[in-house]
Amino acid sequence: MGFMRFSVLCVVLLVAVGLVCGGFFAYCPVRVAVEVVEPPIVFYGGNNANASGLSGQLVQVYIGCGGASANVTVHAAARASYYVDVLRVFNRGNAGYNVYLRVVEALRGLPACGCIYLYGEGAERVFAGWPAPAPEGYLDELSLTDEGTAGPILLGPRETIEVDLHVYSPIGAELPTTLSRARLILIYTPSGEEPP
Amino acid sequence: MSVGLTCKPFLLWFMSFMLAAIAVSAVALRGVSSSVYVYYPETQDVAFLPPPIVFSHPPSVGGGYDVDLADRLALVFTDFEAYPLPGWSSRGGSWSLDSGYKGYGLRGYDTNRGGIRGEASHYYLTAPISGYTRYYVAVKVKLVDGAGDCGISLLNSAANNFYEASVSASSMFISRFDHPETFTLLNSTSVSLAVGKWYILLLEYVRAEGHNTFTLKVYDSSGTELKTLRASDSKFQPYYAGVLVDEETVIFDDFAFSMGDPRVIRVIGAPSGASFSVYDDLGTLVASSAAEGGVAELPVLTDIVVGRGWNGRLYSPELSINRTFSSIIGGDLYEVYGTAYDRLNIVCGPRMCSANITVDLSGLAGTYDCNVLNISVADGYTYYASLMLAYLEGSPSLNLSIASSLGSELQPLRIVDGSVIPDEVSEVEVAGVGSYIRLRCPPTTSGTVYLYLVYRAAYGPAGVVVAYPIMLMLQR
Repeated sequence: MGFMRFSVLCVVLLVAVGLVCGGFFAYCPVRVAVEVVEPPIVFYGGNNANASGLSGQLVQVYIGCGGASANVTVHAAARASYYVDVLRVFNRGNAGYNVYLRVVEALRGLPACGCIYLYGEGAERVFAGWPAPAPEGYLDELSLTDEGTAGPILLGPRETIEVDLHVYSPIGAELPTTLSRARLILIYTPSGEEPP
Repeated sequence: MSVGLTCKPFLLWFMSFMLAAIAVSAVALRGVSSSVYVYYPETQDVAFLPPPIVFSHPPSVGGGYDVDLADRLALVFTDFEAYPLPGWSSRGGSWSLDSGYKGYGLRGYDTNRGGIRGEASHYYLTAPISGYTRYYVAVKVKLVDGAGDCGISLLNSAANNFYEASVSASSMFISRFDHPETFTLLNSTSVSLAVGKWYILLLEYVRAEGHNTFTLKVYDSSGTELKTLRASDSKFQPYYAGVLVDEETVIFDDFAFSMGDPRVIRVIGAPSGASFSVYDDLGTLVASSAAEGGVAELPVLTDIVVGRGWNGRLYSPELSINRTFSSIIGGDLYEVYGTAYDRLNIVCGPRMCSANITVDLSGLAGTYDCNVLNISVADGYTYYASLMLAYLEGSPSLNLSIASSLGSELQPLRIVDGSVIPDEVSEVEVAGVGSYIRLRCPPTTSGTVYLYLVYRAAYGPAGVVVAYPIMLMLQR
């Protein structure tokens, strides 16, 4: 009896190995349908997008195709320069999403603090502290001089996040004469898990 | 059969394995379906500009003191340099310009017994005065004929009844006229006035518990008091004030309607030993006095609306003050303030975008009022600036404002004993050079104020906001 069981198992294993080694292929049909939909989360310019900046410059905000990318350029002065509501993230969908903002390439060689503050729509801006006015009452903040992630901020349907930018240089700091760039990505997901 | 029996557990195991695999796959698929992540690229570019606005030290020039008008008690005043006057109206009489005490005066002639049922003719302010329960009315008069009387009228709202505080060549009296033709003499006394000479009438009115009390004083042109007359009545509360003439031709000058005594102007905050003089626009000395106990009182009764009503000058040789004002009027309160720049210690930051200011108030007699920090716009653009308080140390009292080179001044940031007086935040337009932060504080205050100069390129909540830190320390 024991021999019989052993024999049957051997046969099964041999058949299985034979199937694999013998180039046996089984095809199961899988249908993958890709439908392009309008992105539910979009960038658009805030109240101060392209508003008057310093020395005749504008607070430049460029929104890419479909609101799926953004480019913000500011010209700051020494000490504290604060840009209120330059960019907005809007959920035009019918479901809530968790929104993250991640610095993937920080501002380099800048003896200054660059920081993004995320506010709810129409939130009052309150500042405290001296010699640098620090914002209060924001949803989350993200340093542009370090790589990191802000969020998640649950953005419900028809809700908006206002993006402020704060650039601060300490007394006596030598400031660069060339443009410094930080690269970020906006991530949104229905999942509650941290994005990869 | 034996094989079947042998295979049964395997099949059971195999089926269990498949079910587990299906369950795991389902869970995994569910997990994959809800873990979609969408990534949008964004860039933030930051470029630095040279500071559009920079701080600098105020110019270290000027005397240690200056003076400014702190309060004016006269609500209405005129030297009758023009006719007709806006805000005035006549009732009866013939009114015109004539040669006055200095410059022109108002000539009044009672045309055939006046405008109110044969009584006096009036030239009066159309703004009601019934909201005031205590005031002074002063006017200078010169009788031309000597046949009738002239003086100060206080009319009712219909301007058909009036109180009259008048003088004639031989008397002074206070009376009431009631429509249609009832004349009630409230009080009178004899006084001798020369035709063709100037006299000053000063009426003090007080209303309390429904009663009107009138005190009329007559002075000669040198300011010597000739007579005082009092009367009271409760028939009606005066609604208009003006001058009147009855069966007479008269020249009026130096009219003032004042909430306080218009016979003197006061200068406060003056250090001991300082003297002050008031000159009119013609360069004539009107009054002078030395300060006692920090106050100088200058008698201007003889010319209550100093000169011709414009460009009066306040002069103090000891304090190197020589200020011309658009007008100097009896009852004015002037305040001396220190402007000594040597009391200031200013350290601007490396890029002139921050400042630490120390003010030494020790030994100062009056208010300190000084430009403590210059603001210059370096890039040729216009900005909108304001002051934002961060926090305080101690309990200082002060006013801080931005005076713009464009002529406007920011509503001051007011702090009293360490408490911020809430005011509407305003912005002042600054451009070019010559704007500055002005500090005004009593000499007894101390403490430290941490604040920001805040500016932006557009008015209101638009564009970038730049903040420069300022520390202001007041020491005594």
